Amino acid sequence: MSQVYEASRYQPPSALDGVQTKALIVGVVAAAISIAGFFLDRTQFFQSYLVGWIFWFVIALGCLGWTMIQHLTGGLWALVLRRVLEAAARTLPFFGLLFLPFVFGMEEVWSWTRPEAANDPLIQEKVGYLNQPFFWGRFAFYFVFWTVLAFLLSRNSAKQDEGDEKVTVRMRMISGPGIVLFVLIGSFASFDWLMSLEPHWFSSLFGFYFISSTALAAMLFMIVCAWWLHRQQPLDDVLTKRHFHDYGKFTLALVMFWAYMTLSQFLITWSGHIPEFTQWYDARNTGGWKSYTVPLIVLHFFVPFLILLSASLKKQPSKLVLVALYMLVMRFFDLYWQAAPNWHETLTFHWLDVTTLVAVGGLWLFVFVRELKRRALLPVGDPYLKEVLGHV
Amino acid sequence: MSLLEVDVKNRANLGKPDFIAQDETPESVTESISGVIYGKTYLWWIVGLAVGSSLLGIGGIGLFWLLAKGTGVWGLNMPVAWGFAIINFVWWIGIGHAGTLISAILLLLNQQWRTSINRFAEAMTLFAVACAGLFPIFHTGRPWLAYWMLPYPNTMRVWPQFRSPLIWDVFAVSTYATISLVFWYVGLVPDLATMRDKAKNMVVKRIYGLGALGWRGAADHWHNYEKAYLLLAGLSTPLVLSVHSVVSFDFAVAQLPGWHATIFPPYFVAGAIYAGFAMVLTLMIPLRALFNLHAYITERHLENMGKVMLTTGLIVSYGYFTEIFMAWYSGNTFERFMMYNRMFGPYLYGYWALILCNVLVPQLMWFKRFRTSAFWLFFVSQFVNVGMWLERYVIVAMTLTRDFLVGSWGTYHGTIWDWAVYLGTIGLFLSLVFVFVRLLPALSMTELKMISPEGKSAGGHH
Repeated sequence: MSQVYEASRYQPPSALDGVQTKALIVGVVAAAISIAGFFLDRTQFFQSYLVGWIFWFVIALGCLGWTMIQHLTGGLWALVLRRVLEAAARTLPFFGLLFLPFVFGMEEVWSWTRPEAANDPLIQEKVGYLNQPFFWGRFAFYFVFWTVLAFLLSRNSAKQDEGDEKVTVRMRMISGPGIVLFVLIGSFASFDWLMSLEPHWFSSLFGFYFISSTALAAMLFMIVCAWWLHRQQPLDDVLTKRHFHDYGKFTLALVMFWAYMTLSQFLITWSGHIPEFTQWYDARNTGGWKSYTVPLIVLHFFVPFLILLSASLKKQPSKLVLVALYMLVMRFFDLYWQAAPNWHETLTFHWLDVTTLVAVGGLWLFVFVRELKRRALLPVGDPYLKEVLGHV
Repeated sequence: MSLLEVDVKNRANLGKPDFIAQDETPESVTESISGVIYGKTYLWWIVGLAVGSSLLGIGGIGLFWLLAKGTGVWGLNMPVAWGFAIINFVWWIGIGHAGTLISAILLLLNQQWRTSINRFAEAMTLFAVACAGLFPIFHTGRPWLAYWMLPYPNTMRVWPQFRSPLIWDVFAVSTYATISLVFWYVGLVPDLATMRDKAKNMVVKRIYGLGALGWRGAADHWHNYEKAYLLLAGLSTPLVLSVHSVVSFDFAVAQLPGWHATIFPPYFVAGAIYAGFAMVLTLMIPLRALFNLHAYITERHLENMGKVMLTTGLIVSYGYFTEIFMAWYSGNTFERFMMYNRMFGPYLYGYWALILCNVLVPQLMWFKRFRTSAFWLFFVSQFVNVGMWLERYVIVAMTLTRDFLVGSWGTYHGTIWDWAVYLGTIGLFLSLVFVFVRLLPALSMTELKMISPEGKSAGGHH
């Protein structure tokens, strides 16, 4: 235990600069193309942009959730990546900023904001919730909450590095109520941005479904980061097979949980056979969408499930990262499946779906890496870390 | 687990109280746990068993009357064809879930604190499933024909309705009971061998020896045992989710407001674990005091169970809140009325008592002072036991008595015979628990030895 863990030993590698520059270039180019697309097809731009925005946003949000779970459970598997999680959580205000263009695109995306919604008796019943001032008020509230939470945890974590051990308990105290509100607020965000795309439909499982997919998306992102970091100093001797094995197990569990949620929602809706509920699945089962829905089940559940059963694969970073990248693609397809059939009766793809996704991703990675470089890559002041690293 | 990992885990505990007293040795574990069985019979044990079997007797009278008169003696009527029987069935099945979670999921997650409580919780699972099973069987009215629920080729060419979740229940629950029994028994084998070796009486030796299946503690015995144990844990894990999800489908696939809700599966599963941990605490806290097992069931076990209760209780509360929001958001008259009826209808006391028991009181678990106090944990557990029963009452009675058409509304109350059978199952459960703690090692000696300081330094497995 005589060895002292110093922040200086765990400074971020300089190779991050290259990643940051590349991300910025890719992001700016894709953004330029997307903006050109805005002038060509305004409606399509906003619809594609929403999916691209949510895809990356969910990763950052999930990282905030995992940070709190790490504080609460003291899980060693997440402790070694806590700086990655904290950096991603600190990028949440950036997503708030990127959401603002929707001020000009509400009607293109959310049908309940269109003038004809005034004649829809069912939408009129919910107008107390589905109205623009309240929608934006909630938006502001969500982002203030997430931002405050992320920065509170991040600031205390920095204090911990300086040797203030009291903050360890404080962070746990913040995370307890924090995770409760996080789940509640995340659920409402999913009702606002995704579920209300079909304003007549509702599913009480939707919030859980969304929260568990943020956990999955963030876990996949963690695997990618862990893979990249373990290949160079200073984390090459910190991130071991055991960590990757744990991440793999979590991924398997969350993939199974995704299937459980999806199946539950579908089975209950299908068995009940009430038009109000089945309309959502009808939209995904007609107009060519069926040939999208069925493969999604196979590719998002059965394929990763069977692959991830292998224990030896989960311990090999270079293989696990491939599964993670594959699953991130599947996350996009699942998200697209939830959103796009509300806008298009027939199976449709547009090049803007790709460019907006790349644009948000590139710009976000740039911001994320900038945040990651601010601190030592390990929370060197954490009492648990001292204990663990002393022996590995 | 390698020595190094054990060491790391230990150190990561950072001065928290241990899961076993530090002066325990493998010998002292055997002495105190087998001593419970080979020691003298306490008066409180006789009193406990007497209370349990008296309640069981009341249940026997209730069932006799039921069989003599038919299911009409229960408070069933036409909007409510499904009263106490389904409420109690769901309540008992839920209680069983703590055992499966502790034995399977916590094992796979390498959570050491499961060690002292798993045996007991698994036994509780079996007893709870036995109590649960009685209700649907007797609700058929002709329990001797209950085997008709199984799909088998027969001359009547009658098959069960495979689209009905009630039939899925038959499969889900019977699978659950089988796997739980096998898991529990496999875990018992090395302990039965210890009991055999400790026995002084030939007959007792033979009986335990029969159960021990010739266990000699050879290396290959251990090897096979560990493999089987891990496999069974893997098999049990999906059951934690699936059984109560299927139970929730009993309601959720129907079209009634308050039942047809997609959140039901995860919300029922969380509720089941919630109820199960409350029951484990209800039984374990008195037994720990009476048998003086404080060295094995430490404050940390209690605290962890309190944390699990808090977490699952919050998930359940999230479910209640989502139900309220979605009832309004649906814009549907019937959905909104269902919620209004729960809060302000004729059974409003049930709903608000449920909120008190399941949402408000368990918030005490946020505070370490309450989480680590056996008294307060017991106190909160009683509220949860009642609250989880009320939850099913609210779901069943309130939705069925007032659905769509005012003309088909009704009322529902359990009769004295409903209560008699319900008390009878509580009696059955208590009797089984008392017999179990007297005849079988209620704590796993094998696993406790592995986590005792001496056993650990010898490189315990698991």
